[in-house]
Amino acid sequence: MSRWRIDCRAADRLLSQQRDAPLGRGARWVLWWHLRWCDSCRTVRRNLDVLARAVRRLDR
Amino acid sequence: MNRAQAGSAAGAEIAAMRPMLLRLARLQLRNETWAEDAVSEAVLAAVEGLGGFDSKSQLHTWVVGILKHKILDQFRRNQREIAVAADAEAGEEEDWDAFFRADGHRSSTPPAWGDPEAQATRNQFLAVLQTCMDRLPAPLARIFLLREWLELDTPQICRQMQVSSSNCFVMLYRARLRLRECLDATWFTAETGRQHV
Repeated sequence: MSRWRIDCRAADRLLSQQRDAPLGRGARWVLWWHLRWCDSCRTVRRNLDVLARAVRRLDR
Repeated sequence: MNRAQAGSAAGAEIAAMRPMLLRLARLQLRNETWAEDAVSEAVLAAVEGLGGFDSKSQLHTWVVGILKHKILDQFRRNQREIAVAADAEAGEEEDWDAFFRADGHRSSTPPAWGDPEAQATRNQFLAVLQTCMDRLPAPLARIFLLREWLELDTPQICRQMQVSSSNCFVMLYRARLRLRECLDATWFTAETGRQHV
């Protein structure tokens, strides 16, 4: 695997970490590149958005 | 309605919020005694502060805001116990095989959840989410809600939980992974992306 390629397992972790702190430039770039071709990881990213919005509604 | 009647009506409204406040405090603190204490203190503070509050439409938001502060007080008071549990959880080995193959690809395609916010079933979704939250180990539920519900930033969370920042990220990741797994299984099917409960 080239230094610019990450697998879904690494992407999954970065998708979570991105929600808690800004990623470094390199991590941001490899994640962006991975998301370009990975439908599953884009779905996970959208699902994480849904999850975060739902949690904020727990008190309504 | 005069001022005394308005105050009395708001006081009754706050009392009626108690079950909702208790549900939230239990979810966040995962300890019955701490949750009861946080809610009692929040209700008392809200009733005492009613004199300075005159926007009835925002009463709910105001009381929930007070509860959030009282929950953080409980975190500070019980920091040692919370830190020990968090430390134990951070040291747990996660079984990634259920989620990823040896080559790093996903074991299965994640179902798209769509937008449950826009559906008439939103309250049911929240109920399922709550069930999934209840299934999380206490330290993971605490750290996840500190981040996503109380919206603390990561350094604040690390301080509250007394964990290193790397353990903080790991625990937040585990919490999200397990919630996703639970929601995938409980709420959605991969084929249709539709609710099936």
